Amino acid sequence: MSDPLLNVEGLTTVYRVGGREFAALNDVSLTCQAGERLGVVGESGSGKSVLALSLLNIIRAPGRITAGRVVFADQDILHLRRRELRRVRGGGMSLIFQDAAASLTPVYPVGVQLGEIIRTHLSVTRAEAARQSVQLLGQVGIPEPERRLRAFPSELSGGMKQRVAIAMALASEPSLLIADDPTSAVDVTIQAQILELLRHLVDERQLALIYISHDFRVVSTICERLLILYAGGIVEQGDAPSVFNAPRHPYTDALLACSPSVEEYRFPFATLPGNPPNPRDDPIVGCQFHPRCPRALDVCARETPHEESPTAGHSYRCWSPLDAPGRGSSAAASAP
Amino acid sequence: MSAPDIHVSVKELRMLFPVKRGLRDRVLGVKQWVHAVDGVSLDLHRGECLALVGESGSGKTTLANCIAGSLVPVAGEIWLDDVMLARAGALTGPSARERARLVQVIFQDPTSALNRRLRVGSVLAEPFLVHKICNRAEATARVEALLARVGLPPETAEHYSHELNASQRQRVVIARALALEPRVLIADEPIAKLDVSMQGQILNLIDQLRRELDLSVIFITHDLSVVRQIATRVAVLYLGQLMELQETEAFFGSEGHPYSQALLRSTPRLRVTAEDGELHTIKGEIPSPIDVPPGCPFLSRCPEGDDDCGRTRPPLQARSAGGLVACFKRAAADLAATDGAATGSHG
Repeated sequence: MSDPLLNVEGLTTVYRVGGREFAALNDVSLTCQAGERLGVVGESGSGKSVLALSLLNIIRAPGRITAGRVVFADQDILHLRRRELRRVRGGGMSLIFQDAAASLTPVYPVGVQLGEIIRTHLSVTRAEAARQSVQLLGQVGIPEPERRLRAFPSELSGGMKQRVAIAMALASEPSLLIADDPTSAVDVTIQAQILELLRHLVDERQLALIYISHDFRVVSTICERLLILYAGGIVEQGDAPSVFNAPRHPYTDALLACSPSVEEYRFPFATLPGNPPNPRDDPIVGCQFHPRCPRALDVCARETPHEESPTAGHSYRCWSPLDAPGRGSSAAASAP
Repeated sequence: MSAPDIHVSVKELRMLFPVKRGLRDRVLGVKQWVHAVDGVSLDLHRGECLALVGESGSGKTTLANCIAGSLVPVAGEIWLDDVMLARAGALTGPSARERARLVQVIFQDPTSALNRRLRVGSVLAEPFLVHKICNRAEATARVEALLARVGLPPETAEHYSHELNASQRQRVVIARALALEPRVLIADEPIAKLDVSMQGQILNLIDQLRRELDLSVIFITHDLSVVRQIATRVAVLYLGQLMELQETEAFFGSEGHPYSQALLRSTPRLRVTAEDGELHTIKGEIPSPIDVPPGCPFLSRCPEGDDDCGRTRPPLQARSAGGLVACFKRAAADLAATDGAATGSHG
């Protein structure tokens, strides 16, 4: 296998909260090959957005990256000089944010904003940039792209704005696209359109995609490999069918059991008791999930589990994993 | 089957909002209106959970706000049992204070729905004091009972809302809505801001309260997978018009309105899709509610529509399998099926 496009080793990002340090991202290692679609699933506070920002080395105070390596296209992202880093950010690696409106300035037409990115990264003439802008808007499925270039963001719907944000992320011809929950604010119909668009673009351009979301259903429709994040650490990762059909970590299992489904009636809903760790509380010793885990053993409260990988392409960190074949007992307890 | 016990009845409701215009339009006297709710008739049965579904801009929240009395409809009537709540241009019947004891609303974002300067106890005591139901001392006991009702420990009363997690906060909002013992509860996307692991708790709670307190619930959402779990009936809105009204099981089991089907197909599935399986998407977006086309509002995105659909608005018609649908194609298919069955029985 060739070198992966992105190789992350032991990445740790720490935030200072209430006078003490809290690891928002704790010893995260992952790889992403060119052309691969990797899904990151986690609840709020799991560190999924911090992961996106850390990959681009744009963590701001009170946060800082304290350990680890991020190697993207043979460049050590955490030790680049500022000018080189600027070429990578929005160049080789692009980020699509959750809130599309926030990545657009309201005071310029979208054509100006798109053109600026193209000319920053590709050193082409104004006319050529305008031509490419039209082409990009067409590719992301915006009708009448020439006319839309003159539109201000406020004149576009939420779905259209997200399409423009995707066009902007593609403008610099990146090789890795990081999407941080880009469909959480749009309707299901528009969500399906955007997922289809992303899949199509990723295929066509042989891009690598890291798709971050809290919704298992969304990630599973678009990604080949899944990574489950809990309290800043990867608890399970592997090929989508394997993680999906035979989750080994109780947290993954609980998350799957909680997800509502259009296909079956499963009332009352399974719920996951308790809360994710609070940065203001004392750090949890051992497995971060053990206070909420229905399968917790004594050892879980003492030692951090190691990464186990009994089958190729599927690994987990758990002292008390679910059985390998099929789904084990459901980890989630019903509500009272 | 016995006739349903109708609790709230909405008749030919219309709600329009004026569009803010520029100087030119004002001089020329051009008037434009957003048709937020455009002639909706709908009954809420006693003790049921009716889901209102549709994309943003379909009029779900406007309809709910009309029922809650926060908007005065332009045309139509709203009845609660035999009391008229609103008619064209006026709120009628009960005062705002009395209305609050009949209909309550839960909003999407529990964080902004709660005053962060007040302790939970004060937030929950407020309805009792404002409505002069009891004095402050007695309110404390009632607050405790309310907290127990929504599954929160009594200590919660001492906390500020920002010390709670999102699910606990939404429980407080629900508790406040229940304080005046309303008969109708409107839940406007109550789980959209919650993590998946917490959504279930709130859905279970709403369902449990509906059964225990015999509440009639209007549940607004755009996620059909939630509808399947919690609703007894489903009403689909598009551009302020009712497209389909159906029992939940039949809605997920039969060939409904093309718009309902499009929504269903767009809902992400809880399974790994085949490697190159296309997602089923519908083209385009919901059109502007300012110039509503004369025919079927869904025509511009409908895979089955033809020229006939653009001439007149399809009426809401009873289906042979139950429920109502506003679609010429489905009505024609039903007619053909019943004709076929009739000829079949002759032969």
